[in-house]
Amino acid sequence: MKKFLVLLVLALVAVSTFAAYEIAFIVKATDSDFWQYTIVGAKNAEYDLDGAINVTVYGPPSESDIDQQIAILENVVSTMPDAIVMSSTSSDAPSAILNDAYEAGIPIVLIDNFVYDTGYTAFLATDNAKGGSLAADLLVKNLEDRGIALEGKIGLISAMAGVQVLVDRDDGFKARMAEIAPDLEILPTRYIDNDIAKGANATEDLLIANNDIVGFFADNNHSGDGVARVIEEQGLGEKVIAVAYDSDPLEVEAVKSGALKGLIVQDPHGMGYKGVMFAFMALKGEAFPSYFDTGVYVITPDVVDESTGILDPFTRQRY
Amino acid sequence: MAKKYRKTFAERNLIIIIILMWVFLAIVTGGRFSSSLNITNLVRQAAINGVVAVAMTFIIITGGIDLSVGSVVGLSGMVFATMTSSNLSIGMSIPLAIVISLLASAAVGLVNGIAIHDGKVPPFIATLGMMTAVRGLVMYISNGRMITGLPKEFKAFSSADFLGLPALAWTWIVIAVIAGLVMKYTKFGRNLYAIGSNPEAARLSGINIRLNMYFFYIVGAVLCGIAGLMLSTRLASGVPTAGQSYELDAIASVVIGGASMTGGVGTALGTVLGALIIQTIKNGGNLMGIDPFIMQMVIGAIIVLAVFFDTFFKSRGRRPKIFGKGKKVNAAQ
Amino acid sequence: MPEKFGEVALKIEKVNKEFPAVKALTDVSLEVRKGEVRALVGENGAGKSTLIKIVTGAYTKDRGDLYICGKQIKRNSPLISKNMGVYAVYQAVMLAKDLTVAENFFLGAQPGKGGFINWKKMYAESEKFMKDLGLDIPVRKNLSELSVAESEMVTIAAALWHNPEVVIFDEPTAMLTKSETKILFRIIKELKEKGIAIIYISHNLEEVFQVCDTITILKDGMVVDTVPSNTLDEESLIPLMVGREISEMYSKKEFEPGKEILRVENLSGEKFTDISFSVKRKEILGFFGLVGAGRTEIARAVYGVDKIQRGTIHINGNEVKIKKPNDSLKNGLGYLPEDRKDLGLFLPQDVDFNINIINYERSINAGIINYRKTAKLADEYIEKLSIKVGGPFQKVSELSGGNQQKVIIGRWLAKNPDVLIFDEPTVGIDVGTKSEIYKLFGKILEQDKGIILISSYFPELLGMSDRVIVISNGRVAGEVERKDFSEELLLTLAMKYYSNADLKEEVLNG
Ligand SMILES: Nc1ncnc2c1ncn2[C@@H]1O[C@H](COP(=O)(O)OP(=O)(O)OP(=O)(O)O)[C@@H](O)[C@H]1O
Ligand SMILES: [Mg+2]
Repeated sequence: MKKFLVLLVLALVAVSTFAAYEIAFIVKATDSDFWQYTIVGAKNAEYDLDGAINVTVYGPPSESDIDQQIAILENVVSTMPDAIVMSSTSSDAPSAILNDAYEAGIPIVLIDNFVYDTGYTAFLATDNAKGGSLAADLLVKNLEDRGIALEGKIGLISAMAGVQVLVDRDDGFKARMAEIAPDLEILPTRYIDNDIAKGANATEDLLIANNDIVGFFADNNHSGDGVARVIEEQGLGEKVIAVAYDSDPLEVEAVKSGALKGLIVQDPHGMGYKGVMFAFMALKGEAFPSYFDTGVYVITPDVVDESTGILDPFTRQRY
Repeated sequence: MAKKYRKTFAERNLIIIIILMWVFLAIVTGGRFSSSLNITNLVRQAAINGVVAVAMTFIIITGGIDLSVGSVVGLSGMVFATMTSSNLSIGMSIPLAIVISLLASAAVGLVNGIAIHDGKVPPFIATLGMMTAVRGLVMYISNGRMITGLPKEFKAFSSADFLGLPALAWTWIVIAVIAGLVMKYTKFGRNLYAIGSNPEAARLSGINIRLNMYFFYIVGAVLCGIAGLMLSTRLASGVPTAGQSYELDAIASVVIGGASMTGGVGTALGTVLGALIIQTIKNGGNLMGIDPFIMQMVIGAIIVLAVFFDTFFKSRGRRPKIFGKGKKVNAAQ
Repeated sequence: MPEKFGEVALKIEKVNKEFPAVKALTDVSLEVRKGEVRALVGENGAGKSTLIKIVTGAYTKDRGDLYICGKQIKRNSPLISKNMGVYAVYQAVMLAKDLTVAENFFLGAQPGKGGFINWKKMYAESEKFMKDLGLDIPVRKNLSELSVAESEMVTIAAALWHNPEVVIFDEPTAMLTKSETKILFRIIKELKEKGIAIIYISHNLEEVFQVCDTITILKDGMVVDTVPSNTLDEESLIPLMVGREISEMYSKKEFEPGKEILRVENLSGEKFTDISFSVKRKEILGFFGLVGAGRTEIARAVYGVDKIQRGTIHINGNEVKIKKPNDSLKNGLGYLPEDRKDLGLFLPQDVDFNINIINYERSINAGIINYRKTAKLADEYIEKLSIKVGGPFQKVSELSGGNQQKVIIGRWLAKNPDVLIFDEPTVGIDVGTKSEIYKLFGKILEQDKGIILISSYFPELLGMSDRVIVISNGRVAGEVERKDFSEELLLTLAMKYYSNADLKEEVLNG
């Protein structure tokens, strides 16, 4: 029934905007700010192209619903859109479906996460390892600025085990730290099920267990929120340097208050915007790179006020 | 003749386990575990799950289960954040917003009660549906986004102390004590055990099953609502994913606390101790730097072992001798 | 033991078993021979079931030796004892409720090849087996579709299916109808002739004398004596069991009946039509009928458990609306159900809870329960009904079957409603307590209250009632005054509304 309604609506839309390209935009999850930002980007692209395309957004409620995302993809392919822009949670599961669609002539633009064994039109992503190494640079610079010796320990709070994007960030961070501050010991990673409260608990516990902690790296927004909350509560802003990935309102507040010394922020808006634009260009037969690094921003307290557009792409909503 | 039967104190074993764990951790962490800061942290960390677990105790004693607790935690926090955030336009006073959050939670409990008692939907299914639906509602209210800008006084509650213990811990303690007293010393509490032990016999004893079931699920949901408020002061925000999978730790706490999934058995004190045991393992594991994956295995094993020992000794009709001596009986025949 | 029996099939030597609150068995020794039917009698909580559970391996003994067919069993378990040929039939059905009768017979050893079950063979064989036993129970039905009595017969049949050496019956007749009891006794006789050893536990001493060769009397976990059943009678057996003489079992106090207290008019429900009767103060109104006649259903309807289709209920002359048990409780009406385990017992709770659950108003002050008061009330009834328990705070799950029953009786006696309906109150209760309960009936009447007594046990019904209403096939077949009481009259009335001639014959013979 629901599917039928969706189809009906799609058909109506197709008729009313004659000749507009149908572009399916599939996100990993609808429950997080990050993917909402990519949606803003995609919708802005639709707006800017002024009737030339129709962007329809799909996505499972949560990133753990891998099979649901596959089911969504199957349904989308069966509606034969003109192009698919997808951030796949799994790097393998959708290969066959995507490849079939690609062979059938549907341009496939992958964003954020690569999918193996499929033909694709373009791949847009952040170099997560590079983001991790930027976090290391930022952390060490902050320590040096404060005259804190580069020894002692660093806590690493990871949102979840087994997620490739996070693994890349953590590895990038660790590798760079080994280069620029070899005497700083990075403690075993604590995983927090992407739960802010658990992030705060782990931070508290690490601080108790090690009185020589000089810094924290949190590899996404929820882990960053947890770390920031404890540093704020315990007033450790000048003694423990915390750097986190991603952005959400709590993290932004924390940067402003000094609990976090900086955020490594991707460009979800750009991912969504450029992903849709590349798909459009493919349909029009125009040239574009097959790999595109959407880049990361380093948001430090001194630039936080000017970075609203990056930190909260909702402010860039044009439609 | 039968010897005078001493009342068994089922929670004694749990207390002994906690003491042993704490002594062990204090020694291996060189006193870091037993520092007052860490104990403060520990009880505060346990408090939110602890309140959810007390809520779950009510439901599990009825012989049911409530998978929607985590979603209610999220709902209450999000409703409160929406009502009070300075970033949004409503700007309601804190007390009024608390009342509305708890009313929203109570409504979820009532619907659960109706579905389970009147609709005869098994609790597992009814609350599974509710878990999904309420989480959807939270997402809808928030557009899947975090809400900040909560009132200062509210945010300050999470770091407030009173008589050396965090305010969050006090909230938990007060709730658990009241719940324990209600379960033990009021007709309402006795009805709870009666319905959980044998619903048909309870009905024949003149107990109004419908009203009581509504009431249990509402009480459970309101407690989860309180936990949601506690969580949003700790997070200083309304988070759309807050409370996700909290049902698991809550069920584990209740079961470790000695409750039976078939109903009729369980106490608030047992649950509190169960929650403390779980948090002690997590906190201790962090302090000792134990591999987090190993910690997960340990917690899983402890849940199963706790239930195993419970049923094992019950079926054998004897108590574990390792904890204190068995009851001596005079051959006074 | 007399020579007429075969060799020793089951030997128990100085067995001891201790529970946290009680020493259940002390140096119990016992020998049962092939072809012997041995009765095990004793008060509630004497240790009969415990002994059986040790033999079947459900409990482990603390000390002592166990031999089955001459072989010493060092480590016992339900599986080991079954492999040795020991089968027990408990009151509680221990089979798979969602499987067919036939599947239950073949459980774990279904006929067939390569993982496929030969259903035809399974049904045919089990059907034949049932017929040979003289049982008319469909083997293709799931156990859950059968009545309690039928599924108990299936349990018995399933035990016999395995060619046992020793068969143990623990209060088998409590849930059986007259005709089924007859079948059971015939089966026991056949088993005996085949040289199988049988242990038979019952509180019904008539039955004991009817089927048993020898009687072992247990008291407080110790063997008092083992005697051939033909050397004594009920009267001489009772003192050995309870340690005192019972001069008058049914001590009925005669009262002048007072004003009418409960009147039921034209009550109709699913299983009964147009039932009218009334109970006066200081009166015991008996209810007689065949099993399934609708007595329990009428009681349930009056008490508000089941829906009433038509009819009215009047208390003290005023019509009352009773829609749920709580309404009848408020109107001074109480009901002790027949199926006390399922409809009465709160198994995970303690004795105090089970007695006080309908009596908390006596010990609540400002909403707070006073446990000293509840315990006092519980203690009072533990005393009155000689409930064998370590104290009010022991779990009822740790009590013997009969003592669990007593707890629920105590609950209702403590409630002391104006009219109390007793549905088969003394099934499973030892003789000593039975006579105490009958004495308590007198005390209840003394307080100007009324009693309805539903009973299938003639001595009890005729001994205690002032009047008897006979129910036949869901209708009132007649009312008999005490002076006209006779078993024949009651039975004739009980069959008034049945057309089935076979049924008549069977019951009259039974
Ligand atoms: N699981 C148990 N835990 C504690 N005590 C028990 C347990 N089972 C039995 N008992 C105690 O052992 C004693 C003997 O019980 P048992 O069930 O053997 O009595 P019984 O002779 O079968 O009585 P009844 O006629 O009432 O069935 C009782 O006092 C009972 O309370
Ligand atoms: Mg027994």
